[in-house]
Amino acid sequence: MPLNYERPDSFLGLLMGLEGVADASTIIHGPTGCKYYPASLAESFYRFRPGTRGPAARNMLSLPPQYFFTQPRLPCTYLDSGQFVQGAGERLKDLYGKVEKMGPGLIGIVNSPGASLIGEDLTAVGGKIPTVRIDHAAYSGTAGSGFQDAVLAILDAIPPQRTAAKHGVDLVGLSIMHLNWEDTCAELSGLLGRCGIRVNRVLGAGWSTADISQSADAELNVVVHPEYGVRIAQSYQERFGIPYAVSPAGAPLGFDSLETWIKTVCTAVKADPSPALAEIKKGRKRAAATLSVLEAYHLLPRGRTFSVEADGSTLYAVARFLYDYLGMIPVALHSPEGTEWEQRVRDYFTARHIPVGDDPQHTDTDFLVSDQSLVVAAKVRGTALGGFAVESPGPQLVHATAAPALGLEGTLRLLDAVLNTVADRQRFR
Amino acid sequence: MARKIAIYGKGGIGKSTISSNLTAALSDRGIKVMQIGCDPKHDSTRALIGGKVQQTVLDYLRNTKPDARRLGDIVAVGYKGCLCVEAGGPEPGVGCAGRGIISAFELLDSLGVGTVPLDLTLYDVLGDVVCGGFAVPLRNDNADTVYIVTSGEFMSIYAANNILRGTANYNPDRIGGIIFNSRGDPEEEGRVEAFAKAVGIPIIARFARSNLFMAAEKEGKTFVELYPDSAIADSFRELAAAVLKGQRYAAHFLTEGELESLILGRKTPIVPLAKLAEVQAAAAAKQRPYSARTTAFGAPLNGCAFSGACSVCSSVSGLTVLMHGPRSCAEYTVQLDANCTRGACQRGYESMPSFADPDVHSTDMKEDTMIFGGTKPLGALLEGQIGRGRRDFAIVTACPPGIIGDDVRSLAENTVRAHPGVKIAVLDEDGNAAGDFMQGVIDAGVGLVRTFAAPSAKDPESVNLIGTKTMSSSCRSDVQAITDLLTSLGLRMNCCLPGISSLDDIRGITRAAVNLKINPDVFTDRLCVFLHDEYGLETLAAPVRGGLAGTCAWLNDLAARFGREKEAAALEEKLKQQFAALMTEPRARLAGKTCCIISVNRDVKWIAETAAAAGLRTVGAWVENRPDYIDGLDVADDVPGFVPVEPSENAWVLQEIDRLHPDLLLTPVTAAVDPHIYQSKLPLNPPAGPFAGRLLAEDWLRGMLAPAEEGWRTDAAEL
Repeated sequence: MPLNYERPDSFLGLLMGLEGVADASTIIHGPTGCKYYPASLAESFYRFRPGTRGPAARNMLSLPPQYFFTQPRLPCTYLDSGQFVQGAGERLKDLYGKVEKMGPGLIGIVNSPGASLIGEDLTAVGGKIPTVRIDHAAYSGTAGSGFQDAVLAILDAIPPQRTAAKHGVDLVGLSIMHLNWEDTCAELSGLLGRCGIRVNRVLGAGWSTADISQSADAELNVVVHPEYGVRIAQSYQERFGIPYAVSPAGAPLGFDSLETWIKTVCTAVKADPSPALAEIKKGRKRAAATLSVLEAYHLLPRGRTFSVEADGSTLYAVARFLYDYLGMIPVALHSPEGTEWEQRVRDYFTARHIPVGDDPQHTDTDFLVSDQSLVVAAKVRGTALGGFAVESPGPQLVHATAAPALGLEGTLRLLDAVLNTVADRQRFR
Repeated sequence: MARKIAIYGKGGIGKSTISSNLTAALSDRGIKVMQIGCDPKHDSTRALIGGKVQQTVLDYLRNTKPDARRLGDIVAVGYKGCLCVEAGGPEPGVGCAGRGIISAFELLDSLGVGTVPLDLTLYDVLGDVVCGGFAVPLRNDNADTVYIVTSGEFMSIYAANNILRGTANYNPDRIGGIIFNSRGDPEEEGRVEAFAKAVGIPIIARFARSNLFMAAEKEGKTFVELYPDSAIADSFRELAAAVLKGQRYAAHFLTEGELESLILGRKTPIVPLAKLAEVQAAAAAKQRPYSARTTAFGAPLNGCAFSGACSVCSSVSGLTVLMHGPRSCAEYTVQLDANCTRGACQRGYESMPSFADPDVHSTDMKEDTMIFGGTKPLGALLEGQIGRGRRDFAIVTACPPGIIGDDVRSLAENTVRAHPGVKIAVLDEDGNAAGDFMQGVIDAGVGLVRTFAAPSAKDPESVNLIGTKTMSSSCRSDVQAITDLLTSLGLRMNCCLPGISSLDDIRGITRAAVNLKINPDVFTDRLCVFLHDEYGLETLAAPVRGGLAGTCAWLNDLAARFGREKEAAALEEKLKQQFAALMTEPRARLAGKTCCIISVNRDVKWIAETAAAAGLRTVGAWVENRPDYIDGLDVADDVPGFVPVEPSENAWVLQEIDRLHPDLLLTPVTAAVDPHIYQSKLPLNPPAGPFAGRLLAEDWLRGMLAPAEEGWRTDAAEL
């Protein structure tokens, strides 16, 4: 089995689930070593978080050193071995008080793995601001499980108000960890909007405490990545009777998977999918025209190889797109999360007598779809000629242009990357 | 409303016997009781279920998949329909029983124990509240009443007093009473009564010593069941009545001195200072000799030693790294490697080759490993890698294995004995128990050399480079620049420490004639001290520093060591001419302009030298006093004009900059000053090489040529 410790696990998923509330502030009860990386990510995952513009917003020289350690997100109680033995209740109280004064809509408190072993009582701190206390993330679990645990805990702290008046849909299963999630949300909302379906909010990504309170007003919850959203959707169904829709074709990436996703949603709310499908058809035409030109140059991707290392719902959609639409052949697939999707697609290729390995990082391939770190590492190692990031971290630190990871634009961006690798990089000429 | 009570008391005092008999007495009255044993020994409820042993909650947690778990699998029905649960726990000496209690309670809660119709839940808790986990029944949402079992022995009363102290941390007004369980000492009742009076809590039940308890235990029954007509059984019924009545008292407790005076009639003298000094002297000898820095008591640790050690180990090709901890610890560390590779590729510099494919493995500790101990999974991982042909290992531990006491060293020793040819560097950092990130870097450097260095014939013209920062974007280019300069003097690079090298280089580290420091930092210093202490390797006084003056200083020092003064003099002259030529254009454009400099790094000579060579007039220069960097480098001596400031003075510094209003501000981070002051970014890590400053000057030149205010700021004003 491939080893991939670069990918986020449940602790990070949990923290990002809490950081997904735009006006929340989360405390890590643990050492600084557990804080720096997630705090850096939490900053970078929001392109436009309020209060992050201009020199004053991130002035390292004026950020409080204690607890924040010059990072504006995820202050921590900087436990060390002494506190692991003696406990650190007083420090937690002090930090809670400071965070409380900052006036967030929600406060999260999460034990680091080490802190969870000492039995610190997180219920000893609290005040008027709704507070989510999480004793520990599932140790060594998946990012999706941690993320959903966080959102479910948030719903306990801020129970959505019941309402009979339902309107629009909520997206669920998209987290701030997902590559360019803001653009993806806009892209998917745009497509559904063409069908007259309004997207109210994304449960778990960029929603505010006001959004949380109102989140029982959707007529349907639309699952984007089931690994990150099914449990949340089920909870809304059980508690508020809101049904949810899960596409059988995985994430909405690739023309076929995207169309299935659109149709699934429209069927559930009895809307006409034609406008969105018409838009997708335009994309198909562009793609087909491009491929026709490449055909003239004998540069079609048919028969070229690909590997995918990504969450299951994404892996399924991408693998089917590259094989069914472009005729590329898989050589290795691996999903650290949502493994049932990986199994489904393996069965698909097994039925076609295509052997597929399970180590995309070390299997020679023309094209690797994963996150940018793994793509670069594979290119440096020489196991991949080209690649494309569909998951965080992405290829760019900054982008002013929209770059959705899913939807029609996401599909066309993936297509561009594949075709440019095929056209430009070949193992023999 | 259903009640919840907890029975506490010193280990072996008879809590489980009291608890199970109380449950029986309550059940006789038709009270629906659930008794939960909170002790790894899992013997609390045996007498209620005919002496049988039931599956513990924690074993169930370990062996049963989440979607297959059912409450009924871990609840036994006992005497007169009472319900029995055993939390369980790890074997003695391994794992974390306190964590186990927390996990057991969480599992019971998640399986819906709160929905079972009960009149009373009874928690029978391990003897001493030794950590937060065992206090879970005391928490506000658990036991509403706490009963304390004690005999008249001093240590039992001491434990009872501790329990009162622990309860006072939560809701103190819920002590139900003291249950006196006699040992048969005729005077003990008096002591218990004195204690009860002193703390204001009554004795609500008294049990005489009786051999019949043993008889009942042999039968697998409670006393109440086996001897229902006995006086002792009556006492249990009275206790049951008192519990149902539910009277509660505040948890007052005595100081140690008061307790000793009350019970023992004496005060224990404080150990004279002289004796403590002996203990401290002995302890000092065992302290870690190569500490990252002298940490002021309570000063926060920056990062963790686990991460620091792993970052070094993963840069060494030929080494297999086993990370013992939860996956999140592995992720946080390995992403450093991945980020380096990605950053290097995207920004056009070289990173560590091994970062692109680190040979790292994690034990991915899960909940059951936390509870039951992680040495076995670590052993299995190690054996698996040996089976794949790996021979050279580093094992690094995160926080949890340290907290639960995994004995990694013994595992490593046994493995090495069983597999000749295998070498294991054990870096028991235990997260940040060993210290901060830098401590981990030092420990890895020390540990890898101690484990893998082999005696080698000296290479009289070679040099070790000590202090490489593998995460730095300039690491490889710096090493190359230094290597080129060494070559100019007819010398060779032997080994880089702590990172970059292959394991073969580390094996041959003692070959070098001398060490050369790069990044004159605390960790560099400590590694050099170590190499001197254990291998007699000397270190040159002048470290590699960036900038012209810094480069000439170390070149001359190196040349003197190797008798290459002539070559060094010629090289220095050449470098000076090159630098002067490179700074011609900046000087032409920048002469007379003013600048301020903020640095968070005390190695500022190269910046000051570049600013001067560019003709800039420095009107203000400050160095933030952050303790992590360059111990022993006095900025005021090194570069006159730089003022050390504390982080708390930063606001004042920014005000000064606004007042001085320089043309240029050199700063490592964006400063909230007048936006018309051009801010040029200073790297946090000073590069090696004589011309490092020239690249800075490029940015100054271009920045000064740009419009006074860029067009986007007008758009930004409307946001």
